[in-house]
Amino acid sequence: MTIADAKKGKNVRIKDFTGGWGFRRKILSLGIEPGDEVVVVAGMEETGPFIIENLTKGTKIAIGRGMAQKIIVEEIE
Amino acid sequence: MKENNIIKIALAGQPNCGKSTLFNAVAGYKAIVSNFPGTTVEYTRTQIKFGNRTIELIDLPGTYSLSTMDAAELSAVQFLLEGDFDVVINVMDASVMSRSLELTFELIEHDVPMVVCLNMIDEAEKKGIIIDEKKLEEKLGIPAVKTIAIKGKGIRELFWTAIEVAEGRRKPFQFKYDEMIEREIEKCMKKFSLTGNRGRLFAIKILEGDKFFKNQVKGAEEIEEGKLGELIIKERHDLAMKTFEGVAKVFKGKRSTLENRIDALLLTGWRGYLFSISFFFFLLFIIFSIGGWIEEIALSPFDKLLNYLSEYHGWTYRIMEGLVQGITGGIAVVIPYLVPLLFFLSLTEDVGILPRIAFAFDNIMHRIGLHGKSVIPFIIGYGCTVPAIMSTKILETESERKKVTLLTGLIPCSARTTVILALVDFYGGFLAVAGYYLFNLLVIALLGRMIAGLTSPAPGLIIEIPPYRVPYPGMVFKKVWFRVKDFIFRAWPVLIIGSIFFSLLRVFGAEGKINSFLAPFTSGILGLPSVAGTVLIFGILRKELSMIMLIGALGTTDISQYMSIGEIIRFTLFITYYIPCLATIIYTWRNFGGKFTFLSAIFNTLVATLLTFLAKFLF
Repeated sequence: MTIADAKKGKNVRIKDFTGGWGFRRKILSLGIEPGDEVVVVAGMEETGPFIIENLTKGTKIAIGRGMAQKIIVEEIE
Repeated sequence: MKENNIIKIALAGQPNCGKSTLFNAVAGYKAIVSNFPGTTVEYTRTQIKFGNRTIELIDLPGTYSLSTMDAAELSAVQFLLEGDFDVVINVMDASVMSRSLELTFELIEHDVPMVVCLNMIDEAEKKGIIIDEKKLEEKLGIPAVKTIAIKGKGIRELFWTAIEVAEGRRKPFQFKYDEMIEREIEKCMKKFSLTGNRGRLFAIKILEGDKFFKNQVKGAEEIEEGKLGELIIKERHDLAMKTFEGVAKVFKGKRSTLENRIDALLLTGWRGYLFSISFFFFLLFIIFSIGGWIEEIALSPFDKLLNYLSEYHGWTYRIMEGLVQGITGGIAVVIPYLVPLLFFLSLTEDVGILPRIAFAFDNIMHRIGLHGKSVIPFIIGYGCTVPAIMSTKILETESERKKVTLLTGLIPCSARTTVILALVDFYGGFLAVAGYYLFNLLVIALLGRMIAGLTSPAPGLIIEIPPYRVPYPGMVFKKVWFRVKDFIFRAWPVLIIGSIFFSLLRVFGAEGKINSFLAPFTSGILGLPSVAGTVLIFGILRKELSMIMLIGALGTTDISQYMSIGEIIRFTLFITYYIPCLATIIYTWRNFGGKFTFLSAIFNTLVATLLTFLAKFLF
């Protein structure tokens, strides 16, 4: 499951990133990494971007859908 | 270092860390600002008096890392390598310290005298993060100072510490990676005969696969990107995490779920559009009600003066007229539009609304190959093109800034709106005006798509959404003043000189000659009466003047007597799209250099000519 499929308001944990080195670097530099607990706060339309809160670091980012689909997450038991 | 020397202090930090707030807080009102056009990302310098010392403060662009991947990072890295500074203040948002430390470690690898500024310490504490700055100092070998820049707290201490570090040239401890990586670094240094800490930096960056550094070292281009680069970054990241855990205690602070609720409410689906559109209506309201009202009051004495002067003959009066015209032109931009728009922009920036608007509009803007953020210059463009160009600063890449600058030039600013309202509304009614504006959006969208097809697509959106913050009026005022002053000193003098030059042309009776010279173009291609020639040329000064000059040239206020509906529409079209006003040209020049300004003027004129020419077949 990627974060693009996660339900709004439901906490999930980041497992891994797919995609190129450039993307990994960018997202890591924003302080988002595997193991972090994140939650989708808001999302525009079906094809639009999301706002994701990183609960572990206490930061929030807006991210396009294409990029969100590169963030693999798992549900938290 | 001698006491009377200027101490150069560079501010480096991640975006949103409060670096600019710090800059503005100390730069104050007396600062001398100069920007460096031509460089990909400009940084601001200013000189301030601090005690008996003079400090030159350099505000580097905000960067998450120092990997030269984008223009801002490249510009910061180049600055650091050139070494024209005495100390770097590494500003960080203490509430996201673990992440911010990664940049700190990259700065440490640059081996520069530095100080860590733990900014927004109040927000960190609210989040339950308690930082022991003395411990951090022990670990890194450089001082760390806690500040709350927006309230002015800790700033004095920070700068005294920075001066001490600069004078002692105190550098941070270099840190070691794990053995395997260290061996590779050593090998790389040997291979390219790199020495010292500078050499170590180059070796690390080459192993990371950084193109900029690879191109600097002969033979390094061939080194292939391996897993090593990722390992280095991962280690630096782990080090940052470990350091954070070693110097900070995290208690479960009170987290605001209210903010998330507001975001979920405002930024989901149709509500997102409703929120952003009402925001824009509010902005347009400011532009047209307040701006127009202020303009009338501010300009009436000047218009009276101009009227008075026009009654007299002789070239001295004409030159004085040009002088007053230039001053008025500057006032017409600054007082009614620049100040209110910049004020509003700074305010929304500080509150944290801007990135949210960018988020809401991202989807729509991507259809014309742009980022969500670029919607802001567009809207401001309806007021005045100059602050619109200023606000392209918020865009990340140079090519995006240029693209948006090019397209905002086509948006009818309030001056052009005056002409559109006077001509289209008067002779065509409200529906015609509405149609005219919709058509304008269509043209911009089409051209946007065309340009998008020619250039690299806008990168996917990925921006930080800062917490909502209460703005500090003092800070907002300083920001506004900073940019307004910039306009006053840069654009105004040119505006006045240009204006006098045009008046001289009139004195020497060049009007008739210009008209007949331009006739093949104005009458032939555009299908306008030949008197329009000078009107269009002089209109570059201030576009709303073209209306008045047209009346003057025709000798009547009832334009329909001399011009057909078709001619009126073509005249309006050309005025709307051709070269923006002189103030815009000056500003584009200052920001992007002569070549781009020239190209954009040609682009505008081409679009205007094509549309006007096509209109001949319709009306």
